[in-house]
Amino acid sequence: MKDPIEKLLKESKVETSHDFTDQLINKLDRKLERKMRLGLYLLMAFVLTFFGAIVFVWIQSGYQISAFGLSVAIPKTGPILALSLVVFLVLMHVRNLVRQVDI
Amino acid sequence: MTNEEHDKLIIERVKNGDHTAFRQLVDKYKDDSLALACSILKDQDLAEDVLQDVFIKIYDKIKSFKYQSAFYTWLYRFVVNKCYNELRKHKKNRVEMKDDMITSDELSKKSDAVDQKTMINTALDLMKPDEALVLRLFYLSELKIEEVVQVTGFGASKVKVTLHRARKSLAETLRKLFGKEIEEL
Repeated sequence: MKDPIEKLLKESKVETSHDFTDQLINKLDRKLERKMRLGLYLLMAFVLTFFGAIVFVWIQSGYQISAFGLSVAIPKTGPILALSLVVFLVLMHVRNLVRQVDI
Repeated sequence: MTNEEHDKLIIERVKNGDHTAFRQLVDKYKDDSLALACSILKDQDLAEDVLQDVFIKIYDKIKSFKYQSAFYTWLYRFVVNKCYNELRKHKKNRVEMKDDMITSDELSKKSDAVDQKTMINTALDLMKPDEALVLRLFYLSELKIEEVVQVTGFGASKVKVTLHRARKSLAETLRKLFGKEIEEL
């Protein structure tokens, strides 16, 4: 004969709410999405630092074009502005990617 | 195919990022895990919240699972640890209040619950967390004593003693709560 305590315990099984698994999967998706966003933000920070370093080196060395015996000194602010624009565009693009992330 | 082999197949799919497999794993173990969490926390809503965190942690850590034990003992160990931590965090240890005595008010209120499932769950809620946990692990989840040791971290002798006390305590609580209906215990 089956142990009465065991029998009672078997019959007492508690059940999770009906949407437990759906809620869990949604939570997990949100967590993975946050993880992905963090990765993309880190990529953004890396790009920014990389271009920052290039700009810094450029400022230090100055910039001059020589052709046909003529030497033209390009103002330092020109390339800096151009690079800033490139960095800005890259950042905007990455930002859009981050917003569109859908796992 | 044994239960463990079946789990292994599902786990391998989860390791490869298959959400459907993870859903299968959750569906298979959520109810037993909830029973364990309820044994400790005595609150089903809180137990479900804690359980969700546990399953997310399991998903994160599953790549490190090397099949040195059955998956369910690994999972239940997470559940038990997290629940005891939660219990410590929520200092308001409602369980201690209920440890030794059941007030007459409580008795009459609880006695209104007539169906067997409610009866037994009410009695389990009134028991000490360790006792309710060991009872459920042994009888509901059908773990062997060694597996209960692995999950709870108690020594084998403590598990046996707790199990013995828990059986007596459950029978006594049921008799106090529901008198005649449970005389055969």
